[in-house]
Amino acid sequence: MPDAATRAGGDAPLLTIDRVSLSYGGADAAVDAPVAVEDVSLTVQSGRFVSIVGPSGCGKSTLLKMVSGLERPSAGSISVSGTPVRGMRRDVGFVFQTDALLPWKTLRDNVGLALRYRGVARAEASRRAQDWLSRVGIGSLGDRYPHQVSGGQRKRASICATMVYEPELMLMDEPFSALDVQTRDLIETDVLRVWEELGNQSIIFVTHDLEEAIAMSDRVIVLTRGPGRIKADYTIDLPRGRDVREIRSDPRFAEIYQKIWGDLRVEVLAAQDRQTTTAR
Amino acid sequence: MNTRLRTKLLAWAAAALTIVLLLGWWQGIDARTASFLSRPVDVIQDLGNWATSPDLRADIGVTLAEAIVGLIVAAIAAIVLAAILNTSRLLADVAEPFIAATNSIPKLALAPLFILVFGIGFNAKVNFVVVSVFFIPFYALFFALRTVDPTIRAHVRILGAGRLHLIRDLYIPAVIGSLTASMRSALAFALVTAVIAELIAATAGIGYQISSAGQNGQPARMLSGVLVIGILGFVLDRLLLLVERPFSRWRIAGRRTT
Repeated sequence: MPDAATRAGGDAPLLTIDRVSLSYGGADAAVDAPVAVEDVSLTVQSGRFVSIVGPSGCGKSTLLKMVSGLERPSAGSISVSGTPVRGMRRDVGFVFQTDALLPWKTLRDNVGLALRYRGVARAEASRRAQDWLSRVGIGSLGDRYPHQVSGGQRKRASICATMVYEPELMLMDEPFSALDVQTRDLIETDVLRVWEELGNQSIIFVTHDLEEAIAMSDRVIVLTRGPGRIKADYTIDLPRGRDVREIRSDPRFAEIYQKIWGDLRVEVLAAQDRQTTTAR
Repeated sequence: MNTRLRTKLLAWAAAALTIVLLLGWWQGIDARTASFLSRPVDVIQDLGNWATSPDLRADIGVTLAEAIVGLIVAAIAAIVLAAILNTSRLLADVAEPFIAATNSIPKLALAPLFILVFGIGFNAKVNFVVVSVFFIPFYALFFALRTVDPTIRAHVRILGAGRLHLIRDLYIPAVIGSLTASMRSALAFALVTAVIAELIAATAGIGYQISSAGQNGQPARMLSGVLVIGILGFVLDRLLLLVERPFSRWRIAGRRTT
């Protein structure tokens, strides 16, 4: 079984992005059209936490949307677990930047949704959803509606809604950027803990926050300003079992940060330059 | 007694006093004015007579049937058209100006045409109500569907929702608030247009009774007709609120705890 091979750490990658580009430029391009990416190739093994950083407008979210099947690349191919991505698939999860919970369902029903869509009986789906809520510390909020809980609690529930079906590949698009720093540190540490417990799930994490990327990841990929290309690919060899707040005072952290920031800074400045020129 | 309750009682007392004063003034008007404005006591008396005769029930039945059948047909047509138009952005953009143009036609101007086509019976009234009322639920649904949060839609689709799941878990709950809210205005409007259609040409219904009372110089009957319509509208509105309640339970949940 190919599954067994990946679990045993075999070298068949979970995600393969092969020379993928997406370009826009037609007069009819929608206002919210995603940003272009250019010739991106990337492979990710099972059980890895990979962050993608880059200046705003570099196409990092677009890349995630293509992996999820929400967008189609104009060139190149993407495959997950050896099968090409054509539309949405059940072994991939996506956590959005903004709240995506259904406002008219309780947190427990929201978390159970994916299970219900997979044919799990109501009682069983509800039990497993409750398990997940408890696992991330909001077990007592199962009967609440999204608007009755805090932003951090909603984010925890959103993550549960995706984690509940244990997708092999989890895509996260700046999921914590709207949270305050304290809440964010706590949730990130919990996400790392849950992810380590699951063992062989891979997470692709898009962010513009380099500290966050380093604290969470095994690997940090730097994209250039748009159209995004891969500029650098760093391995983060900090020990696992991390607390995202404590890891920042590790001397190795500062070292890695300096190294990657050198690359990222150039792109951020160039992107800003371009913005001010077009603004004038 | 707390302040809030006292304020409430005071408001009720003031309202009651206003009504009594108005009715008192009305009752006291001179005979010439009363010949076309009638008097409250006469109106009540007429309403009593009308209510004890079999006519009132029949008239209410006719008007209600026109309004409610018209409203239901309009709502179904609105749901179907709004759903079809929202399957494609292009379709919606092409259809929108035509719909806006049709909407701005005063429906009353079409009444003679309806009489010509459908006669002066039940059918004509229902069709007139449908055309007049249609745009209220249609616009509400059309825009509610258009503004369904794309992130939530993407989220639900990625979770594995099929088309029927999307309709059940996303689209229906997303539009039900706008739909029921629009149905409240549509209901009032349906009643109004049914009566207007009866005023123009009819053989039965509250509107017909008002119109013939006008021609026969019976102001009390005219006003009791208006009163009946008001009461009908109020009762129907309360009934609709009862229907709406289960769908807005999640909204109400917020107010209770926070």
